[in-house]
Parts: sequence; structure tokens; C-alpha cells
Amino acid sequence: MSEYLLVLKGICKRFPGVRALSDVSFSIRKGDVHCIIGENGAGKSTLIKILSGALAMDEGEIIFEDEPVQIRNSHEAKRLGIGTVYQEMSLVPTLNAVDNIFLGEEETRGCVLNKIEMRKRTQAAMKQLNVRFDLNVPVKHLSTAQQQMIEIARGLVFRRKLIIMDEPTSSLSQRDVADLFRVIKLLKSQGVTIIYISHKMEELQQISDQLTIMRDGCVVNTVRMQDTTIPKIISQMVGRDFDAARKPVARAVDTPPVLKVENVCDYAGKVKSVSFELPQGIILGFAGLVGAGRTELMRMIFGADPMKSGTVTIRGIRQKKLSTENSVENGIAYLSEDRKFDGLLLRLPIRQNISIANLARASHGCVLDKRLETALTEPLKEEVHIVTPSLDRLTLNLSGGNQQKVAIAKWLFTECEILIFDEPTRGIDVGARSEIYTLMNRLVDQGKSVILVSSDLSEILALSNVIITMHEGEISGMLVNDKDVTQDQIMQQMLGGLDHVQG
Amino acid sequence: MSKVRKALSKLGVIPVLVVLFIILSFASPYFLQVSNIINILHQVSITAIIGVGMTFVILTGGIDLSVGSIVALSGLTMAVTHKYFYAMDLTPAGQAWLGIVVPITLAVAAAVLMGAINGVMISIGRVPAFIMTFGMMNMARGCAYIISNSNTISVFPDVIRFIGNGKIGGVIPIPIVIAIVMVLIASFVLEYTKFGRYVYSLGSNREALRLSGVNVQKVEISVYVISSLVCAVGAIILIGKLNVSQPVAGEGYEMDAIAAAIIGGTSIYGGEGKVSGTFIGALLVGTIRNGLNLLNIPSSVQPVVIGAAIVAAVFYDKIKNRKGSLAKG
Repeated sequence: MSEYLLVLKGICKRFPGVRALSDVSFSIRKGDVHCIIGENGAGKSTLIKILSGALAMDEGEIIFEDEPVQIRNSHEAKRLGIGTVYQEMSLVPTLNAVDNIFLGEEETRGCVLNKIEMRKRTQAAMKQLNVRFDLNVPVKHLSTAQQQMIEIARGLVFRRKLIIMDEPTSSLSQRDVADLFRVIKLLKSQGVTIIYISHKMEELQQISDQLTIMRDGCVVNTVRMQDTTIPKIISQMVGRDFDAARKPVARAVDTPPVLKVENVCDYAGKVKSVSFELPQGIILGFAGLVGAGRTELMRMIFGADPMKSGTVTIRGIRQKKLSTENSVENGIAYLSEDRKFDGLLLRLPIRQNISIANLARASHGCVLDKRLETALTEPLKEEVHIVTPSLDRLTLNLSGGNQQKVAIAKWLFTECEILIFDEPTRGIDVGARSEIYTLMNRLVDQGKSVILVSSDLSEILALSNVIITMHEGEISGMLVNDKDVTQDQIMQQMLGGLDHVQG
Repeated sequence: MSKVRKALSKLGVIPVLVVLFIILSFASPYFLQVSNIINILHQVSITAIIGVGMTFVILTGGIDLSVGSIVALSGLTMAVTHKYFYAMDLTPAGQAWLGIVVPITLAVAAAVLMGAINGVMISIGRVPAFIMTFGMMNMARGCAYIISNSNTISVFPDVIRFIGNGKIGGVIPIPIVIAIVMVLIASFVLEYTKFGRYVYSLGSNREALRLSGVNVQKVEISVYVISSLVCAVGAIILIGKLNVSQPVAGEGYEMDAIAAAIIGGTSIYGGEGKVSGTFIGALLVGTIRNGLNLLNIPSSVQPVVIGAAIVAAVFYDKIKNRKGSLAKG
């Protein structure tokens, strides 16, 4: 028996238009907490899905406990002893903890469920994990952290050898994170190997034994934690994208504000009294960790979600009623974070997606003028460079990058003046990414003003003239992005200031 | 090969209709006679009219189960008012038109009100369309019994009977003309107006439409109002045809209308479909019924065939959707 539990050799995976994984090879030692880190779109989630049987790889070899194995579905993964704690909970909300843990692997006596036995084993696992909560209520009434513990308990009940955790802390509070780390150490002490996916630096130092850094679908490096430093990891993670030479176009940042936001709060408590101004003709970057409240803030400003309190002033006019209708009327555009969920009409032609937010431009009264629509949309295909034989094709069949360009074209069609880009390059390959950057700069040169929300620090640094950082619903810093600003400075502000990182 | 396929998918169920025509014209000497064809058209006109409204609703991803009951309620609103005018002798000499216009207006108003309630509860109250219109199906039916005192009302003015039974040039029944005109109007609205574009977009992705600055609630309420409005038209034709109005009228119409839309290629998931398809769908259902009658096949077999046709249409739709999803990123 070798010291490695899992060896990956040359794993490749393609999606239409994107190479998600290319030649991924590394090994995971028994009993390690092995972290995989990388930016959004680096291929971490795809790799996890292959290991847990949710996706099939195109090429490559997986060796588990010295045996080459095939993981064709989640059942085979479980049988090998691989359990997964997904980023989005995969529990059945209406079942209780016991039923969820044994779902698909029920204990039975004949055809009858052995509820007593299942309950006993769940209780034992919960006791081992030292967590307590009601096993009888449907899990939808439990907190996110508790639901996560159920998933982890599942690993313990079935004595999984390998537990994969996909960004487990992304929606947890500080206290829950500490609890999770306690449990991870406990699992490790029992010989369970853990793959831990994250992009949070501060977590690595606390729990990682070894780590693999991924970028654009490739493994950049696999290294013992004690042999590296956080700055080294960051530079490997962001790689050539984080080009020191790539700096934002110099622009005056003291122009009059086109948008003024004052004391904005939401109902869920994720945005706490936020105020800022967007000067005309610049890119204003919003940096922060996932869950810092940036998307919630932007959606409220745009009128997509109700605002609890606060005011929004557009070009000097205080807005009485915020709604998506009024915002579009006022020349604001919001490129949503998840284009498939709330950005695009996937089953309709590209052209109809482009014109939908301003059909008045292509109609006389209520009646559409299709020739005018064609005449007006066609130039946008060139402007944002949508690669397709015809705008009459369905949006569904485009690659992620091209879909995003369609979403951008939609807003350009409204002739808006203020554009809010929420994670504009998430899940998009490098080529399309740089095209979108160029486009953003061109829009600002035309006099438009842009807010860029991004979890990708190199992106924020490369484009923004002013950077605002948010931490747990509040603005934690603002600085003009000149040549002295470093990634570390921003990261510290994102984490809530210097003391927080050191403490 | 793929070109043939594309053309076929554009035609929808028309080839099926053609094949059915050919088979039936061989199987029965009466089938292809002009009088029989007109008979089929006359039979399906109400289904086609209600199907037009149903298509709007299904295109947005909704469903309207209350159409049959609204036909009854709307029809009885007209019948009861007319009877009242007639009995009270309310119409002054020379103003007989009042006794027709007022009842028709009220019939339309009653239907629109029901549709608006459906729309508001579904769009703003977020009650699932199935539940809301299922409830309305019962409520409207109950109201129909209440306002008519569970009685059948007969004797209607000539104008109404002409709408149901009259023939243009002694050949083409009025209901067919009304149905075709409504299909043409609806096709225009769906294809060439902003509202039509919003209907498809709502069914494709409600949230994306909302974030595009469109008042989705207005659009959603409108489709349920349209669905009820065409029920009023259907109700008037039905009364004209039968010369009676009764609270059981229109029972099962929701199923015929849904069948016509679905068989005609409207996706039950919304966002895809055409009113012309619904018309063909209604025609196909009518032709199947007519053919089975002509061939002396017992009427109990009809639901089996029509049921199977619905399932086949949705199965086809499902396969089509599955193919589309293969391309997802």
C-alpha cells in the first residue's frame, strides 16, 4: 500500500466552448487535509464533480487505494468510500436528518425500513461530531451550518475514506466556521482524508496539510503548506492574469457623481447602511468575499429587490420608487451575477434577447418593426463580438462567453449611462474575458460610468479607477487605484481590516 | 436529412392532419364532402377560440383550468340579464338593441373580472396557476348555478342565434369566421407587438424579463384576462348554437383547449408555441372525433384516442427539449 489514497493522472474535461480541465495530475496522501484552491472558473468544481461521479471525464485515470477505478455515477463513488459535501446543499428539505443521511442507502429488514438502527447510527455520528439538534424536524428548518453537519455525519456513518468539501464556509458565520474546522480535525484524527475546496487564504493556514493550486483548468503547483507562503500562493493562483503591467486606464476620479447611494440597508441584514458615490466616467470596483453583500446592494440599487431604508440619487434626482422599470428608464443597467438564472431568455433567439429591455426602440407604438429591430441589433453583434452565424439562433447554444456578450449587448441596446457589472467574467474563458475588459474600458471612454463587482482581485485591480471593499455588509475601505495599490492591501480590507487578518 | 427534419418540426402536426385526412377520405365516402368539412370546422370553432386564450396562458408557463366554468358563468350572466330585460319589458320601443348590448357587455365584464382575479392572485399573490384556476373553476361554476338558480334559460334574440348558427352566403358558419379572425388577431399580437414578445419572454425566463425592466405582473395578469375574454366570446357562440344557457355549459372545455394548444405544439414549459398551431390542434381533435363518428366507432373510444394524442404531443415536446439541453455549457 502506498502512502497515497488517491492519484489523478492526466484528467481532461471539455464543455462546449470551454476547456474545463486539461491534464490534471496530482496525488493525495492518506489522512491529509488537501486543499484545492483557485479562482472562480479554475476548474475546482468540475474536478469535484468528476470525483463524486456527477460528471464523466473525457480522458485520464483515477487510482484509488492503488487500484485504477471508474467513477461513473455517485453510487460508485459512495461504494469506493468517497463522500461529498456540496457547496449548495443537496439534502431533501422535507426529510429529517436521519432520512437524509440514509437516503439511497437505507437500512432495511426485508422490505421494511429499520428506523431504530438508522437513528442509532445517526445519533452515534452526531455524538462523535459533538453536535446536537433535533433529528425529527425536516432539515429545511435547520440552519445552513446544521445542514452541513448532516452531510458530514453522512460521511462518518458510512465510514467514507475520502470526504470532499466544496467551499464549505461560503455561507457560514465565523462561529460555524470554527466549529467546522474542529470537526475537520476530528475526522482527520480518525484517518479520514479530506479534500477541501476554497479560495479563502486565511482558511488554508488553519487547516491545510497540502495544497494544489489550479488556474484555468490546469494544476499550477502541488505543495506542502509549510513549504509555501500566502503571497506565493496568491501569485500562483492569479498567475499571468495578474500582470503588474495591466493597470487601469488613467481617469479623473473627481468628476461629479452620476449615482449617489446613501445609508442603504436590506431586509435580510446582509447590507448595513452603505453609502457611496459613482463619479461620472470611471470604473468603480467593488471587492469583497462571497457573501459580503455586494450583489444584494447592487440588486437593491437597480430595484430588483426591495430596499429597507436609504436613498438612491441618479444624476441629482432622488429616486422615489425603485423598480427595474424605473431603473431601465433612468439609464441604469444591471448585468446579473447568474446569466442563466436571471439574465437571459435562453430558449429565445439571440436577437430577441438583445432587444427585450428596450423594445420601444424597435417599435412604433405597440407594434414591433422587425426590420428596424434587425437593423438596430446587427451592429451590436460586431460591437461586442458575438460569435454566431446569425442572431436568429437560440441563445441556449452559445458558449458561456458568448452568452455573457449577449447579456451585455442587451444593456447596450438600452443606451444606458450607468452599467453595473456583477461578476461579468465568472465561468468565462480567458479570451472572452479580455474582450469583456476591453469593452468595459471602451464604454467608459464613451462617457458611461461602470460599477464592477468581482470576486476576482486581479480583475478589480486591472480595471477599476476607484476600489471599494465590502466586508460583512459594510464598506470596509475605499482607495484610488494608483500604481501603489497591491493585492494584499485590498485583501486585508476585504477581510475587515488589518487586525482581523493578523488576529 | 436535418433540413427535412427542420421543415417537419416547423410544420408541427400538419402532416399528421394530412395523413388523417387521406386515411379518412378512403375509409368513409362522406368524409371529404364539403358539408362534413364545414361541420368539423363548426364543431371545433369554440375549442379553437378558447384555445387561443389558453395558448397565451401556456406560453407564459401558466395554465387556466377555469375556462369551462367561465364559459358557463359568462353565458348565464348574459342569459339572466337578457331574461330580466325581456320579462320587465325594460327596453323602450325602438331601442331593442339595448336588450342585447347590455347583456353582452355584462357577459364580457363578468368573464374579464374572473380573469383579472386569476391573474392578480397568480401574479401578485404568487398562488400557483394550477391551484388558482382550479379554485376558480369551482367558484365560477358555483356562481353559474347561483345566478341561474340551477335553471336552464332559453329563448334568445335572433342576433345571438345568428352568431351561433348563421352562415355567410348560406355556406360558412359565423363561428368559424369568428375563430379564424381571432386566430389571426392573436397571431399578430404574439408575433408583432411588444406585448407578444413579453409573453414569450415571460415563459422563457420570468426573472430575466423582470430584470430587463418589464412589468411582468401586468403581462401575466393580461394573459389570464385574455383567456377569460375569449371565454365570453365562446359563451355567446355556444348559446347562439344551442339557444339555451345552462350552468353545466362548457364542462370539460378546459381539457379541449389545453389539448388543442399542446397538440398544436405549445410547450407546457412556456416560451414556445403558436396560435396557428393551436388552431391546427383543435382541428386535429375535431377530425379524430368526426372520423370515429363516421366509422361508427363507439363514442367511448374517443377519449382514449384523444388522450393518447395529448400524451404523444407532450412526449415529442419532451424529446425536443432534451435534445436542446445537450448543448448546455
